Amino acid sequence: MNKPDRKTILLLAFRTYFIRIFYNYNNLFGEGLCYCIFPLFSSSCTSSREEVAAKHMMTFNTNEYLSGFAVGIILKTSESGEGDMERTKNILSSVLGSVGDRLIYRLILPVIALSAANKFIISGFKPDACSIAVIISLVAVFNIFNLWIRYFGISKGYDRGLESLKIFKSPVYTRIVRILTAARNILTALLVINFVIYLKVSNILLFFYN
Amino acid sequence: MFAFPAISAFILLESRDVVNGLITQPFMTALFLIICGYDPVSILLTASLTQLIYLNRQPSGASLFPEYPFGFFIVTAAAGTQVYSLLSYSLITILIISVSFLTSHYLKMKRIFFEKHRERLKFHKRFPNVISAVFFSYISYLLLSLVLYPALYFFLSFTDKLNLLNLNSADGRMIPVILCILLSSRYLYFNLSRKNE
Repeated sequence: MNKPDRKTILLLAFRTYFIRIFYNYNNLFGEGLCYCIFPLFSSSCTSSREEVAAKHMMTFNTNEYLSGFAVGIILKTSESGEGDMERTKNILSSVLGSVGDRLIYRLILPVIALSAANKFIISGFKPDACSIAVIISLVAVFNIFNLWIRYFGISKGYDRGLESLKIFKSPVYTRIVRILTAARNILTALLVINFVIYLKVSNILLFFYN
Repeated sequence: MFAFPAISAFILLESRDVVNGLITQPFMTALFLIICGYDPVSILLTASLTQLIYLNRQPSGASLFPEYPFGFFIVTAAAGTQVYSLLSYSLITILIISVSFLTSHYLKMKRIFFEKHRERLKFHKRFPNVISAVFFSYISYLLLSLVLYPALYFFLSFTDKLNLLNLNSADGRMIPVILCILLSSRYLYFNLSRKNE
């Protein structure tokens, strides 16, 4: 199996967008993983569909956004023949699941949702051009990140195997998490303040005084 | 009557199964509804409230995760373009929570059914096939939306016509704004009291 070129990595990254559609209670992301990694096996003519399915359609868990790392590392392990595939998948299942859920659902999604809510309330719940521009920009930036993390995961995972997971212990990653945590907390505090101001300014509670 | 169920099914597909690019989150779909002529204050306030209700929930594996992007869109779309009253806000909030919860159960049933018939619904020549998986998933979500949307539409139209509780003198925004303050305060406390991220 040759090192995948940029086009192949992009194809694999594109396929990871569909990894969740195959999610099931039997093997979790096992079917999705087979779907994602198949092009590289088929291009190198080393395995048929049946072989790929027999080898990889077993219980596997990941986070959909970090599934690029899973694809890259599994392809690397499969190619080199070094290391136990089952052990590699177990490591990936635990690391990617927890890191991805914390990064996306506890930090990035709240930061985007809270920014949007703050913008709505600052504009008095009137969708002006600025609010629309801010929200579309936030979603566009997230989607650029969404594609980049999948591409980067496949590329790094294929180059460095399980070593690539060390990125989640690096000082840069820790700093990013700290910044996102601070941003989320500041945005939440701002939202509370903004809602209290809105409550006072818009005379919503006037009903009680009459 | 058909466009909103079709869009709702797409929202459920995007938020749960494919891409997951946040384009179907309530803060985005609210903008779409406003472009369609819905009242901005009612929609944006409801979207903010929905986001805050589910902000500390994370979809993990086999757990039943409330499908709030779908719940928000289908309920607010069915509620119509009028300015919400106190009763409307209360009903819509309860309906969003209920529909989101019910949809998570529907999703579980759908997954079990698809796994039972995976050769026909998700596979082609005994290998995962994305076209049939996306197609049949979308059809199953469309069926759900086609049942839910008219039911919600008629229920909300009916309650709108009833002048229940004579609460028209109260500002409807009172409920979501107070709830948003409580939820965001709770979320802030929850995050600050947590040691590790």
